[in-house]
Amino acid sequence: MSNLTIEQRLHNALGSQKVEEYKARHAYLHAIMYSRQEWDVFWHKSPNTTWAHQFGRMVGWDEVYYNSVVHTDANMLGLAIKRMQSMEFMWGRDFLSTGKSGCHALCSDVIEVAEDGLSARAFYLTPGTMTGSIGMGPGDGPPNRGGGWLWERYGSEFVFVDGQWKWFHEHVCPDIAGQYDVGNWAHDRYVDYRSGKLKIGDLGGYPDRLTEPGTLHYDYSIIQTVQDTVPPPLPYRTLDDENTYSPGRTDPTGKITVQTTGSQKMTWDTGDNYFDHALDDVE
Amino acid sequence: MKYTNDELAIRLWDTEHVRHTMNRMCYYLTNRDYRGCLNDLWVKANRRSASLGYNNGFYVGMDAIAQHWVLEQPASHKADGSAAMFTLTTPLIKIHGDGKTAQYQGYMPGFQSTANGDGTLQTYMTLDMCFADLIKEDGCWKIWHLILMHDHTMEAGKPYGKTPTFGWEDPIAPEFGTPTVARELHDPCFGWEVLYDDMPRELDTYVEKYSYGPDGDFGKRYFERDKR
Amino acid sequence: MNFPTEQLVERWEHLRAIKNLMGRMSADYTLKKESQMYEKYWSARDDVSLGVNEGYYVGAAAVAGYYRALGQQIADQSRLIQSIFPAELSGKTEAELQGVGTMDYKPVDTPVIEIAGDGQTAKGIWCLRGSHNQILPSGPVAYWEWGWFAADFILEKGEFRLWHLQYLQEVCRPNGAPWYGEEKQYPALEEFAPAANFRFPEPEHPTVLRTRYHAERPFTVSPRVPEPYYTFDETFTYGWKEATP
Repeated sequence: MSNLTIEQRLHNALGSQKVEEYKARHAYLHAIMYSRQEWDVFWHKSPNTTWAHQFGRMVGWDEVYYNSVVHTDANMLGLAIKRMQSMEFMWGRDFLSTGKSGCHALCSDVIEVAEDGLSARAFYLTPGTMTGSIGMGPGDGPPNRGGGWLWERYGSEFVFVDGQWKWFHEHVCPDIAGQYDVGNWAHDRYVDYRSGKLKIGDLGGYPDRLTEPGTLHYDYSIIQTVQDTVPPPLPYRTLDDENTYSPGRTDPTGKITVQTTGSQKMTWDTGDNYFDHALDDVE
Repeated sequence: MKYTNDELAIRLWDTEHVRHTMNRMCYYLTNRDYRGCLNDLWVKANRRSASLGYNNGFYVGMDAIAQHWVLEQPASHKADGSAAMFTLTTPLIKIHGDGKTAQYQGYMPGFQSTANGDGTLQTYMTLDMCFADLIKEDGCWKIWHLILMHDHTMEAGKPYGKTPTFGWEDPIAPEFGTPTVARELHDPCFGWEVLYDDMPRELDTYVEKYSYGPDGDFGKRYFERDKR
Repeated sequence: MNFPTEQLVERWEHLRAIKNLMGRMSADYTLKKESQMYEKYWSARDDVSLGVNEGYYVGAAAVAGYYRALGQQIADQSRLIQSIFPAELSGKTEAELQGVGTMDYKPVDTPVIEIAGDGQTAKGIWCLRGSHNQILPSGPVAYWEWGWFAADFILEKGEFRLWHLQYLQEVCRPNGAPWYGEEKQYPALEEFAPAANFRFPEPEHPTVLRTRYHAERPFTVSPRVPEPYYTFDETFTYGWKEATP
């Protein structure tokens, strides 16, 4: 980087800190399900905006926003209304965030800003929590606590457009999950694998529409080999297919992109969600 | 606000110094060295307006904070068989425009454990959130207002999800003591319902209303805040 | 210490690079790349040292040997798991198999990093709040892991590299079980019996750097946190010294 001017180096350094700020804001806002407050503010609105998880990849701002805000709001409000109907003590409280206080905590950060100063790439481990005091579970049961945890890897990309840093690509890779503090994820998953009960790919939520469905990352099992799905970034010159978590979609304008078959309506088996049923067998 | 290169470089490091000050605090808390924490990391010039907040209110002024943290420190903290760890993740740091003050938010997982005397332990994994106003004194960032907002206390080897929702006394709560300004800053039952308005924000200068001290809005229900 | 703007920026770039180094190393535990860590992150000097709870690996050969042994252990475990699941895993190369059936999260946070005034060395400490699984005669068993990484770094060819590292566990206990008494034991599984033969080289300088937490342990403070310093001889070291207890 020594060939850059002092202004360029400052721009890149401050960009790196902006990445940390956006990742933290997302972690907190996602925890309280305040989706518009993040997606409307610091996400880049491009046909090449992508958001990937176990379930596949959302492609384009419209699909990302629809799933992450419109569909999420509808689902979360539906759940909250169910709770409100059965839990009078929650009346007057905030519908979306009440009872939950989980957080995808950010650790092991590796952040690189491109030499050209127009993009940034970041890797994190998140030993995250999915906890709550009253509002956890399917919503039609009694008020219940939740002591879940979900640990993931993140690959994130940001672009500098019109004088501002914006979030461009996200890829979330869940690896392990459990409950404070019962069970032993490694042993339990081994027993479940042996008995044919282990369900893989259930840690990623249920988006309504996807352009690229398909399991992009598998959570832990005894026969799972190492997946380097979101390798930590190395120093790089510019965002391109050699340096991205979303190949083919590195042009922030969206003019250069990958042809797809389009957005598809998805159907999911949501009846066996891990976090709804994790304690079913616990005395 | 527009800054010169010199100012930008200072602000770049201000963010790191704020981060390091808060992270250093975790090691003092882990070591149960509250005296050292107050001496090394907290304000000197602004000691009268310093505050320490818990779920149930504020200790205001360094004398009250020291009384609670140092003089009333439970002997069990450093007894044989005791241990604790406090960590800070997910830092959200905003240096105010004038560079004199800053706000910090972080997620604070940890554990606290004490021996029962019969070879067994009472071990709790804890989840907290931490907020702070920091102020520059003699060129060093110092903790001015601190809130340690406690959420969950989960016993090792027990299913937290089976803990009663109501009528259960959080075993960590007695450590909050009796703050000098009693006020409910946080009820873990209802989660982070006012968090959006309490996160560090872009400000040109310190604004008391948005501070994490006793005169700030932190934790207030919306109807208690003057929104206009 | 006051620095001109250009030096402030350079020092910040080093700070970020040090955090990146630790983040990459943390990721490499998840990716089971322990065997590459010495080459990727350590100084080429001969006075490197690695401290673990039970003692020190001192010198380049010993530190490299530690990581080589970790790599060997992972390879042995992978072959064992392949032998147990031939239908799922036969035909995979050694490289493809490396780390199968294991997961190791060592997330690092709470960093305090000090770069020397002279810019030649740096010190840092991180908290570790992780979970990993071990391959035991009872099969895969998950452990909570709490502890610290504390390191001295030294500038080599313009980059900071690990010089002295302490990797100290405060807690390593099975998930879903109390932290006192004998560890929770799962029933032995015949197919995992060979796991009893896994051995790891002892530190060549055995000493108790840190006793893991237990019900009778006296209260024990965390490793020392770096303080500002100008040259390395003004400060303490995380490395092995002749007089190290």
